[in-house]
Amino acid sequence: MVPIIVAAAALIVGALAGALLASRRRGGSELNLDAALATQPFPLLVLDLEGKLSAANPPARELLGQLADRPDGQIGFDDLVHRGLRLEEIERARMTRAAGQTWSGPLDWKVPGAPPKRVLVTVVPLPQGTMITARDITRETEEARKLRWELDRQATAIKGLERQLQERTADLAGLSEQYFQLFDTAPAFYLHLDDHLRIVVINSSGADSLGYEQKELVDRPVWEIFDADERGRIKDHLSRPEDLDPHHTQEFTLAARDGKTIPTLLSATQVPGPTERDAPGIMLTLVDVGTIKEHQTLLRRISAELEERNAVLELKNEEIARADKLKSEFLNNVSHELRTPLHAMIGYAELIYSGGYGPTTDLQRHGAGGVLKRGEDLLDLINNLLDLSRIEAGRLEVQISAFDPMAAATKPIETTKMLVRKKKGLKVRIVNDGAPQLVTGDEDMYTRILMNLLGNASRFTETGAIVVSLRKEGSGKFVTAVSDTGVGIEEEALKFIFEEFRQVDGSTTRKHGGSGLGLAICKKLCDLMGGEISVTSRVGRGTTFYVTLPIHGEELVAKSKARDWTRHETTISR
Amino acid sequence: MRPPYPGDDHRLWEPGEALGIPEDPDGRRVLVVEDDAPIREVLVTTLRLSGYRVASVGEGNQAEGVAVEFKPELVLMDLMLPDMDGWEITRRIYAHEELGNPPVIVLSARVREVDRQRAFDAGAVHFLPKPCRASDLLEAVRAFMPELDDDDERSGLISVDEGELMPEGDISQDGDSDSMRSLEFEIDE
Repeated sequence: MVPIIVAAAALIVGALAGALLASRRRGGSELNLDAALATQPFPLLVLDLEGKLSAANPPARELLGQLADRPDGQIGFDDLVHRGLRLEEIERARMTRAAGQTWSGPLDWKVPGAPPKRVLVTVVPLPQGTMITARDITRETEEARKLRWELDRQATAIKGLERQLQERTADLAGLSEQYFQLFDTAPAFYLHLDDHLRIVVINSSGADSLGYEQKELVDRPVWEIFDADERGRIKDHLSRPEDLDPHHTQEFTLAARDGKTIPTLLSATQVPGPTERDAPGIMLTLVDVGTIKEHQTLLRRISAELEERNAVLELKNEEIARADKLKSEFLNNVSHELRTPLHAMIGYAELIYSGGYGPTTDLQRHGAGGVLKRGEDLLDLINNLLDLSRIEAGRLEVQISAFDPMAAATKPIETTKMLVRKKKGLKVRIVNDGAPQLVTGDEDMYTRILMNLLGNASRFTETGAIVVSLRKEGSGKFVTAVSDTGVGIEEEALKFIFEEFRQVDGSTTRKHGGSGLGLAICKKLCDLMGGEISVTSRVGRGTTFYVTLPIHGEELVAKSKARDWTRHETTISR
Repeated sequence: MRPPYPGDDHRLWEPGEALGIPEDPDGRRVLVVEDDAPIREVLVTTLRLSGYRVASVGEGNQAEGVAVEFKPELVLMDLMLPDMDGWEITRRIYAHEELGNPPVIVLSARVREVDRQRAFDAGAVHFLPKPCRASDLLEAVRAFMPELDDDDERSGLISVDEGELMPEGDISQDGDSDSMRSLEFEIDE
């Protein structure tokens, strides 16, 4: 803008100067010229043909500074220009003047005692001389410089913004790619509809599920993908797009190309059109709930089945509990019903045997003794059976007390001695092999184990010795070994020896007596006490049973609590 | 010579009650409450042979009445009686002031600990399981029979109808009662 002003000013000045010089030539008044010059607001100088100053207005004189003190005729063009013009500019100005051409250009005009000024100098050759105007453009130049600087700064900023924009655009492209992929592959139906409910776009998984290509569906009315019965409803539902609430879902059924129906949950919301001029459209989101429904049905069926099974189980549990109770009652009754006649049997046999019913012969006593003996065997069997069933039902409780094992072994030893007193070559003894003074456990169970083992030993041994030896083993255990010099046990039979009703074979049972329950009971009693029982045997040489039991009661108490025996009543009986 | 074996004759067998065993009139009085007739017979016989005066009753709800008449010094009590069980009879005997708290020994095939405990709770002094040996029975009766006081007015006893207590049928009365005092038998193989 500045150059335009300057140029315009130069033109005006030029015209004015022309008029001035013309008037002088016509011999007009000097005063008029000076007065005309004086009215100009910018410096204006007129040189004659010799290059001497012939006229200057006050702004020009101000610009001339000290030079203005000299008479006009002594101030030449060189004097004027050399102050601020560079050499080549002076040359150009001279040549311009010589060629009679107008030259115009900015110059730095040095003003003594003040900052240099930027001036636009216009040199206009006139027939009678030269007119020079100097327009002070210092301020304009400064402003122009500022403007340029501002412009540069803004250009830089714009470049920065452009770079950011490019980056953002790239980011956006990536994001939109991602979202588009999500849109396309999400397991749901996404549709954009225009204001006439025509499909603008449908995601590819949605189109796939319906059995179409995406582009086949574009521009089709949306209701065409709905089940025939639902078309009216969907039209109604979408008829007021501005009222649609995306959080409110409704069930709709879609119809695929092959006629298969797809139950869905639909949510719809109004969305702006592609441009501001377009009418707003609708975005539909439909989720296939067919699988969910299938799973729900399945789940319902399974839980119903489970409930049924639970009910059956509960019933069975009740039955089992009832059966258990019945069994225990039955055992109790059987026990009672077996014991009652046995009491009378043994009683009558004793009366005969003892002569209560009159004098008897030896043979009569023998017969009665047989009844007594087998009656007692029968009682043993009944007791063993009941014990076994009680142990198995968890009804036998371990009763812990401290006892002396040597003393506890005495009674079984005495009984055994009495039983085998007819076998002259058989000795029964007890050996203290470093037995602990006191052990903790169920003395009664311990005695029963010994009675059983000694009973076996005495049944299967004719000559030699039955030895009970007690020793401490390591810390916290003691071992009771019951050895005999009897028939021994076959190796393969050893495996089953602690099972119920197992003697080596039926014939041994018949030959040696015993119910075949004794060892099974021993094993279970050992288990109950937290101990163990083992056996070694050699056929024809003898058998040894080892009963290893803990000495200290604490572990046993802990164990028995863990097995929850304690809830059962104590039902030990003889 | 083979002895003649019975055919099915034994099926006609019926229990008696201490058949023909004489009773010591000065014997200590024992009441047997037992519904099983063969056991009753064995018990009564065994006790009589050992010098006791014995009354017996097979029906629970008559036990108290018989006891009031007989004034037993000791009672042998069965538990499982059809009409009134032994625990209840025991309680009633102890509750009856006229009877003077005779010790009750329970003799039962109900050998579970709970049953024993109930018997002791009812006041029984001892529990004998069925079957038990005569020696155990007699030992228990001896042990729990109260000491005789000098001023024990045995004369004040109400006499019991002999007919009720005496055995029926006939059987040799030459029982060796002494041997019954220490009933023992040995294994005879």
